[in-house]
Amino acid sequence: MKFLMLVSTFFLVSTVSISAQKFISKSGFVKFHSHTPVEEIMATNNVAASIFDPSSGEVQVSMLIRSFSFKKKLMQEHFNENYMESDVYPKSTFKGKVVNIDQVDFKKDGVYTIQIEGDITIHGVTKELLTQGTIEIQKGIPTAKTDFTVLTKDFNIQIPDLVKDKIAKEIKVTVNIQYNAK
Amino acid sequence: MKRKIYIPISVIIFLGIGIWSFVNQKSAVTVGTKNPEYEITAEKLYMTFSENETEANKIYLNKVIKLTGKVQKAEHTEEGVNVYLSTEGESSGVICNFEPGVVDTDDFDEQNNVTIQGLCSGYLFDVVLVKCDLVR
Repeated sequence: MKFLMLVSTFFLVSTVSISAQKFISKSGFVKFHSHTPVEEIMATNNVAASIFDPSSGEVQVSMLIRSFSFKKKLMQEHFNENYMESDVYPKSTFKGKVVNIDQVDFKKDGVYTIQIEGDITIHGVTKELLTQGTIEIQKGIPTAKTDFTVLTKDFNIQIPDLVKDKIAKEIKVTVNIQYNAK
Repeated sequence: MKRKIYIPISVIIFLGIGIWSFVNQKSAVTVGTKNPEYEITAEKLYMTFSENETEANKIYLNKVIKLTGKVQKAEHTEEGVNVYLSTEGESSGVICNFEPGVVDTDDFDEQNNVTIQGLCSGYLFDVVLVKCDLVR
């Protein structure tokens, strides 16, 4: 009887500690890419922060707009000062969840396809985002990847007529976050 | 007569090259050669942001900072290197992001003090400095 109680207590404690574990990343990678026949614009950010709760599937990502790095100096200045107004809106965030989290087995290495839904905030405007991605599990630690497209007009980003041909209306966003145990 | 034509053409060519160079200026990989606007410890910078982010942003955002602190860890990111400077008794501190080719993780020993110059891009869990260079 004592043995049974001991075993059940052990399982209870294990379950609680697994469900309480969260994953964190402070070096998430985010890239955006604008393609037009006139100009290719690409910027990357290697310091996005994220918290991921594997038991509920809840995920939060936040990044600093001024952490995006461009190849051309003038592009970076225009991006921060004219289009993203990064002194007024210094961060972009995503708050949502992996809808099919029950299909991800954190104890088994592999790549799992995931559905993500939530709210994305860019330039002070919040929109619903539905997208697909993957979670790769290696020794219990997840790496999440996704890409999606955002429209500049949806986030009230004004592009002057003079450079309209150089900046795409649709911007492709790529995300790659390797988590650590919290 | 020919000279009269050559002069305006030369001016137009030089002006064209000047404008083209200005528009296509490459973004600096580091701010290491710039004069820092602030010299501060990682501890003090983190405390200023954690106490009042809005006020700290007014002082430090987009400013070149020369920072001294203790290395918690250095890791490769998708493209470059991130160095974490720790603060006493806190799980967060300052993250210094180096672009590819500037440093390697071997340049940093855990628990050693380093001086890094970078551009402050704001505060998430930690204060973030980008375009960093190691002051050797």
